[in-house]
Amino acid sequence: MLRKWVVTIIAAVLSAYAAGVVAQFGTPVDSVLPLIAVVITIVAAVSRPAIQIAVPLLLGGEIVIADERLRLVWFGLVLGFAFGAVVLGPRSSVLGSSVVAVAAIVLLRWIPLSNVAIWREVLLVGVALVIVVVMRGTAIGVAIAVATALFTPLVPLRTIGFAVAVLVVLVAFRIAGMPDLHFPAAGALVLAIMMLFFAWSGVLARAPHLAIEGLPSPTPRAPVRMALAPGQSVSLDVPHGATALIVSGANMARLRPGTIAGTMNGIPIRIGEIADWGFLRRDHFFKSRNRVPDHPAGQLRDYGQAAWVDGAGRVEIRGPRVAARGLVVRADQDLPPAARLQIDAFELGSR
Amino acid sequence: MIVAAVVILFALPLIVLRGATLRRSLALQVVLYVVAVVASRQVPGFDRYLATVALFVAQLALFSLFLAVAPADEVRWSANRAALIALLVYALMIPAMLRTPIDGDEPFYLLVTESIVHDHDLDLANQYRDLAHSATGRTDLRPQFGDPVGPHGERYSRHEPFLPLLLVPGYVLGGLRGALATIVLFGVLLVRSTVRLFEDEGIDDATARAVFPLFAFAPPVLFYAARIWPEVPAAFCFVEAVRGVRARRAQRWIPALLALSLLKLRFLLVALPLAVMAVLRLPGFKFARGNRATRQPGNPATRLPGNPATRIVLLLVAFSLPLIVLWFASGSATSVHSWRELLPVQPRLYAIGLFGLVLDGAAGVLFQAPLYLIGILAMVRWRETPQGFRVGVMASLLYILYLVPRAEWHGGWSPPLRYVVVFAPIFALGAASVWNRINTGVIALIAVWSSGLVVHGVTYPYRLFHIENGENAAGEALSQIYHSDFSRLFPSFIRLNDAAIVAGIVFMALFIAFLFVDRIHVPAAIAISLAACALAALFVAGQRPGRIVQFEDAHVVHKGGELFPEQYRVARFLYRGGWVLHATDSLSFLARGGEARLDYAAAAPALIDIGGRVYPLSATGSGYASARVSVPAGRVTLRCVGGSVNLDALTF
Repeated sequence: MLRKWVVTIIAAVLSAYAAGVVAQFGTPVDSVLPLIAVVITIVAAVSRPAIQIAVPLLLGGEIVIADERLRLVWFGLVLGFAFGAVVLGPRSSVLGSSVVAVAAIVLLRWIPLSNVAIWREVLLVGVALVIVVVMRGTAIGVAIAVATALFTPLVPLRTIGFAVAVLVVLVAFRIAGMPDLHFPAAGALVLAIMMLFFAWSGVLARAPHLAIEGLPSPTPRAPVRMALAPGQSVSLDVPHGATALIVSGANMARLRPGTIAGTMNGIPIRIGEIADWGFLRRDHFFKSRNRVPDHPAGQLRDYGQAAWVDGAGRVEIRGPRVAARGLVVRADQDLPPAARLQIDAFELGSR
Repeated sequence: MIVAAVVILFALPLIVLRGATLRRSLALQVVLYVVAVVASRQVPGFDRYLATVALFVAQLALFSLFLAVAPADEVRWSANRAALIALLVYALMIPAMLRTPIDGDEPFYLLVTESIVHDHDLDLANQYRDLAHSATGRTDLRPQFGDPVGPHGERYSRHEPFLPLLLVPGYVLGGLRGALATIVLFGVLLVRSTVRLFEDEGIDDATARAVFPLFAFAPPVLFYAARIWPEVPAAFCFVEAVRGVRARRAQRWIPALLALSLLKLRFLLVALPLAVMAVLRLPGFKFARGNRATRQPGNPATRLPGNPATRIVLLLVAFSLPLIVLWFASGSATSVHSWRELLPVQPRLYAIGLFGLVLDGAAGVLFQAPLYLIGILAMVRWRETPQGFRVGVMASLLYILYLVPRAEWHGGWSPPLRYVVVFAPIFALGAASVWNRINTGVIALIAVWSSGLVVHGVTYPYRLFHIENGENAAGEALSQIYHSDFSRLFPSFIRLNDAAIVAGIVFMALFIAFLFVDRIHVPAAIAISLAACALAALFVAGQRPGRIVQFEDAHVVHKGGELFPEQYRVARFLYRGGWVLHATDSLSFLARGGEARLDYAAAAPALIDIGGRVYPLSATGSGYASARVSVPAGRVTLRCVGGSVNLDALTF
């Protein structure tokens, strides 16, 4: 046992050093590559040593793939396969499963490290570990524990109640005689999908369908950058090739979907078509009543648990809303005084 | 094709796996597809074909993993099932390889087939005149330099006609695809025979299942199994011959060796020693008895009649058949080759070729088919290896000795390891014999690297062909990304570099250390972490300027000028490479700075500017000359101010 952990420490040091040498890009994910290498080494130590192969694969991606999105997706794929392979194998001990769950939670919630509220996170990890124990270390148990941790905002602290609720339900099932459920393939799938998004886990946690359908990519735009106070209007020339207006709200997070935020050539623009610009931020999400716009046009911002997509929506200017010579956009006069209708840009070309 | 690939990959586990392993394998396939679909939505601009190939290779790797680790009671393993699996996978390779026109010797073999089918002769003159109607899809074909010419202007191919003859039925049925399907069938037979060889030689099923994917679905066999080269049929013949010799079944090894020799004249150098071993039954080699092939009822050992001397004479007569065929086909018993090629040459060339075949970045086993490195290392433990391995290795020695000093030891314009594909089954057997002694981490690294090679080769079949300039695909890609010389970190014996010397020494140390492999236990995690450290170290080293700048290399940013010699020059490897600059052309490179020697060739005096200093270069005639130059450190621009110059290298 002692030999195994000495080997693990040596492997972790070597892997972290190699990762530190190779890390060359400035994102918070790239900069924690040594931490990721250490986490993989620990997971390999409690499961299968061959899992360690993920380390050179990550390093290879860092060296070869310059495109940030592609590189981080590659990292996610490698980690997804690593964690998926761990839970897919023969059932491991509760201790081993607990280590795997904590490792996954660290990667999904602790990047960037500067945003970690340590005591809250420790509390959440504690709840997740109890879930693993209640599920007796099964694959699906690990997946549930990690998913519970991922989807718990922890801001405000009372949202820990979500994780506790999951735990209570599982305990109730267990008391009611629920048999051991392993479901290795399902567990592997859930873990792999979660780890795939580890570089933008915040988006997966707060807007899962947006993430699954495809994180937003930059599109060609002609910036407008205007903010209209309630009742204000503006007339805009439509640039050549423009297909949509990118609109978002400011201080509109408390408005319910369906609320009219403004009009474009007299046609209402409602919450649901657009959203408050920052409603998907970690600190604002719980308080917000908005939902992801029908045609989201926000940009992907930040990394890890802090990642979010702004609430801009794409309002088509073709079809019934087409304006041959110009658009008149007006902010609804019944909006709260501090609210603003933000016209971010024209989107150029078809998607 | 995507649907066909999905169906085939779904079918593979059904062929061999059972019970929980089968269910788990199929479930994981679904998981992988779901993850792949979700991942593909995150990078919308990514190359779809590359992503699809990578997904299918990952699925194949996953299946291979399940096959390797499946409990014995949940797997139905046999040579026939292995062959069926190979057939399905190789069938997918045909359209993949045909994404780009066939290349190298392939179109010439097909031209001969077309000539046999349409004209019933071997004269290709009319084929060259009417390439538009050829299934080769290559209208740029010309007779190769040195191809035999008949007394009435007939244009014969330098290649032996036996392979084109074998391709005839397939070609008649399906044109180019039919011809490729014929090779695929030989690939399937090769896989079947190799698995049978494993069984004959006492390799346990678990090991055979672990080695099988790295043999059948990895380079070089995978690529040659769907391309028109004689190598895969030859490998099949060779493995059948070894099995026949081991089982003392003359009706198996004699036809196999004859076919082997007819496929390519050089294979006579394998066939003859093997035949002599079979006839003389050399001491130290046990033939038959204890061998599964002879234990089966109705499958008795058969021997040649007469005493050993008579048998040798009979065999020599039999093996003169390829020479006679070639004499009829091309007017010379040795075609474009000469008996003088068999004479010993400088020892240095033997060392370069031998180490090159093992370690070269572009053409060596280490980087192009790492499984076989284990097979090579197995030779260290000679006495513990199976008899079949020893027989195969002994039979290959003369051929290897003939091959390695040749300028074309690396295979020329062909997918990697062309000349040693024939020995793949034997070295796979060697690898299997020591498989349980190999570190899990090393096996994982080999598997991952091999998967990468497959993805690369299937996605970009044209990149299987690489000019012999001392670089390789990986080095070039990194050099282009960082504009720094990464290629120098890969050992090159084509253009001997420092890495080759280091790799040679390390390999020799490894060779000796393998004697003590049982006493050395490195945990897998440490082995993989050390590989990660090596990767990091090479990454750092690669970004620093090298001692030698080869001007045609990928790290040099060229603005004008052209490659010398041009890419498709016949026997390009015989030339000293370079980059030709004309007046106003320039190039830039990362330099370590200081005094340096510039090697160049210039038909007339030329003027160059290096980092702001102008140097006159005198004419060199048809040869090369050197000039001393002073080069600043960092990124340096070299301009041709006047005349034209072929820049070879800058050595600090």
